[in-house]
Amino acid sequence: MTQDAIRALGALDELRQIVPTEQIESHRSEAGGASYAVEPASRTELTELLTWANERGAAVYTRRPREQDAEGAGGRLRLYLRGHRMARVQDLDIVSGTVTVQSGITMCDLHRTLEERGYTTGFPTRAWRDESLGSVVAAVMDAHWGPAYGSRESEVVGLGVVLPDGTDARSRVAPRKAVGPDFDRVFLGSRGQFGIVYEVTLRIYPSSVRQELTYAARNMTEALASIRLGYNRGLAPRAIEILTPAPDRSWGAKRVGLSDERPVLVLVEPWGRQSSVSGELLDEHMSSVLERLEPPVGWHLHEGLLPPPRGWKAPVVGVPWRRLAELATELGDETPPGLWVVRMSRHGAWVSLAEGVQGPQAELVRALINEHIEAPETPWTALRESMRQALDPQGVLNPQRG
Amino acid sequence: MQRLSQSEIIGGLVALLGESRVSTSAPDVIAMSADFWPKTQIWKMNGEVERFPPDCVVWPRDDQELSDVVAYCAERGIPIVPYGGGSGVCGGTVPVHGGVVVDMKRMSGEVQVDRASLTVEAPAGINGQQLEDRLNGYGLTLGHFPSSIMCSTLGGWLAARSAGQYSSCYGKIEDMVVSLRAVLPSGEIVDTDERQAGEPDWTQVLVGSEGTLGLITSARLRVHPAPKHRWLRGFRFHHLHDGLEGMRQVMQAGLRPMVFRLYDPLDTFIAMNSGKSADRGGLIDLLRSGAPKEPGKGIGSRVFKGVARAGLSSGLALPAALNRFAQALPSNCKMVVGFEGPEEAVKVQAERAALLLQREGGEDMGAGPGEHWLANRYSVSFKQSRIYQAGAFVDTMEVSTTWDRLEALYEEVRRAVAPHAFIMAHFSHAYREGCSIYFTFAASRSGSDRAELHYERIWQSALGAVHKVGASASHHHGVGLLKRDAMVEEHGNMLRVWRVLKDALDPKGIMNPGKLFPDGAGGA
Repeated sequence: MTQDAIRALGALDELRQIVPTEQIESHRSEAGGASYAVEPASRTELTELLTWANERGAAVYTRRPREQDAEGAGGRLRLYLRGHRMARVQDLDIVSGTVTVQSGITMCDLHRTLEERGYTTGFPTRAWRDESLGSVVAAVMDAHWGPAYGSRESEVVGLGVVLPDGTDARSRVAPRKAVGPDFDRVFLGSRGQFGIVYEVTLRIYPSSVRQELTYAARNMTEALASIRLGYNRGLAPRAIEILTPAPDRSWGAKRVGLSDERPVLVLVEPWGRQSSVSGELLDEHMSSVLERLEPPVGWHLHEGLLPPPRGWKAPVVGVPWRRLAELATELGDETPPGLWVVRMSRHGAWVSLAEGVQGPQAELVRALINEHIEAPETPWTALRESMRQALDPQGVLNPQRG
Repeated sequence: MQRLSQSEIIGGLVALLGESRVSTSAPDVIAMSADFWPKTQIWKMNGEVERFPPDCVVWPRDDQELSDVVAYCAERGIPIVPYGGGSGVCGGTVPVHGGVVVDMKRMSGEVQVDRASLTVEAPAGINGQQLEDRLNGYGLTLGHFPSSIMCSTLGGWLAARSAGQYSSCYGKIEDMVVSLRAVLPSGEIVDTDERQAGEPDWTQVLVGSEGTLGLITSARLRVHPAPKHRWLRGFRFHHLHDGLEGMRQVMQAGLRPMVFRLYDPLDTFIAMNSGKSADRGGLIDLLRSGAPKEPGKGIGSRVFKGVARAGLSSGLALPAALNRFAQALPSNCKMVVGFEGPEEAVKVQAERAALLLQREGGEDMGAGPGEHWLANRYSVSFKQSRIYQAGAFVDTMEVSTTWDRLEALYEEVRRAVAPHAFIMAHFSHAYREGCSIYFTFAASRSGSDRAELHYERIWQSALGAVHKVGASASHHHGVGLLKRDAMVEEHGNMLRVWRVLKDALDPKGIMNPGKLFPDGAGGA
């Protein structure tokens, strides 16, 4: 038996003192260094694992193994944490309208649990259903309903985090606080650089039947004008999107009822039970400007119109309304296929364009997107790195992030 | 490094800004040695007009000048204390370690409005009301109306995580801000830009940092079309619980009232008898005059008459007795609710809210109470000096928690404070998941040293009760010096994040030292 193998066996014995054997799976590692998948089932197990990893100088990952990990970890022992044993709903507070849940729960299970009781988190996007809540908040993935319900991070009212050294840190659950910087925001969206989110308290809303109204616009200018007019009347629906047919023919104009004269699809989803303004009023307004499509695109089809989240490689950027309006003017009546304007609010929207779309109109859209693509290095990069170094001096948590 | 003498500090700053924008004159130093924290008023009433004087006050005019000042101080380890309108009530701008007070009010130049995107870029030193006035000129509103709006700045709102009276409709300052520009303790000028994938939200890290991580110089904010229609109403509930249930129902129905306030029985009694809410000077008027509008009706009237006869300070010297009498008052609670915006949206929301409130037992009092509140909503800042003149002090505490713990929080704080001060409350800043409680307490200021100790005892008792319930110690006033020590319990191990941030950004600890968190908080 080699020295490495003996060391690995010793590590395994120590791991078994923290979590039961059935929660540890040994990986075969060709590239060097032992590696285990570990499934902590409680906060205590998680904190002890990280404490132990610091003592052992192990590397801890909150994602699936990758080929280059052995090299990146420099021959250290590697632990891959799986969250599915930490997937319990800790508290459903229907008086305050919050749910406290362990972060390993999948969005699908969370929504099923809530739907049975008549609630939703406002994040019902099918595309993310297999993601864990922890991964959704760590990456601040967002949903079509964001502008109405709030972005994912703004829906979090409390957080439990294990820091890289195993310290348990929790924020106090309160609807609003003015007690210094919002430390939750350091963890939300930073992809596990500074700690592992193990518990989240989220707002919940009464669930409502999804209803979608769809309209055809002559061009983007007309679509934007109708939406802006609606906002000015106080009509702020749960979701508004502007889409043009997919370039790969995965969905075309005929499938949703668009014509050559009106090639731009406008999807509007009223608020249902949450609405302060009725769907009828919204429909009356939109159909007075645009052509109503009959029958409307159902939400299952709608989900199919959007690109698969992990398959969509084209950049998605936030664009202010002013630039959207300028783009619409530049495009005139020629709107490129594969255009995707979603999460619209009165201030702007997210914009993307499918890869492979060619032509002058597509270039106009790409020029706009390029304006808003993030700079690779910002003045904050150095701060982020110092924070990471200070919180995780041994580089235990997700080394060589990426 | 040995700290420079005052004359050396001033010499260096004069070289950067010129003589006219560096001051050591007594009026400037006294003005900048305190904010609106009641404890500093107690100091002043005791003859200590400047317990913590700064070495000097400076007025930079733009980002580069501010950067130069910060870099100069950073190199020499000189404390920097940012100062906006001075309206803070927690001592956040008191220069406890001396140093340079940077008055930001000259950084109040251009306001750039993007009407299509409904955003505005504004300098941090601009006065709140002036910003709103400029936006109104474009037919827009920020929707941020703290009661200090006439004497506070945009930078102060951001630094202290302000929330305005219309927060249920337009959101709080952190909801309005898109991005910030700031001068870091190194003197570097940085933009937070919009949220970047994989990065912490730096905007939200700076918002609420109370000048301890950097100086905010400008911000891009979301704005809204100025409302054309408004609906205001008062409702009367027979019990506090019913009123709170009505508030919860309205918020959880997805409605967004521009104002939503529920006064507890004592506050309601005062409002009914003085025409003003307790925090609007009604308490003091009633206690001083002892003349309720409905004399002879119950024990409450007799108590107030008794206090007036004994004198305010003497009356407040027996807070436990006063609070016991107050508990015998009728349990009625007044609510003010209103909506504004486009006509159709206001109409639909108002109808639904009225229905929900009536279902919980609310009796419609008509538009009067709402109109009265709207007309008097800023008067609080101009009333407090009368209380000090009468030999008493008054303070407010705004705390927040979820609906399930709200009534427990109300009772627990009242119970803790009742032996020490006369206390009442109203509920405002309602959310889907909870609400803020705004306590007002008044006590006698007899004896100079005793008054300060008494003040501290009240706050210790109150904050202890807040922590016992698991609520947050500050909803929108911030931390400053007042709640600094309570933050250890509030944040627990999260303070590790603070320590890391502070050490990385401000290793010499020059930015507003002594504020927000205790020295060394979050250390390993």
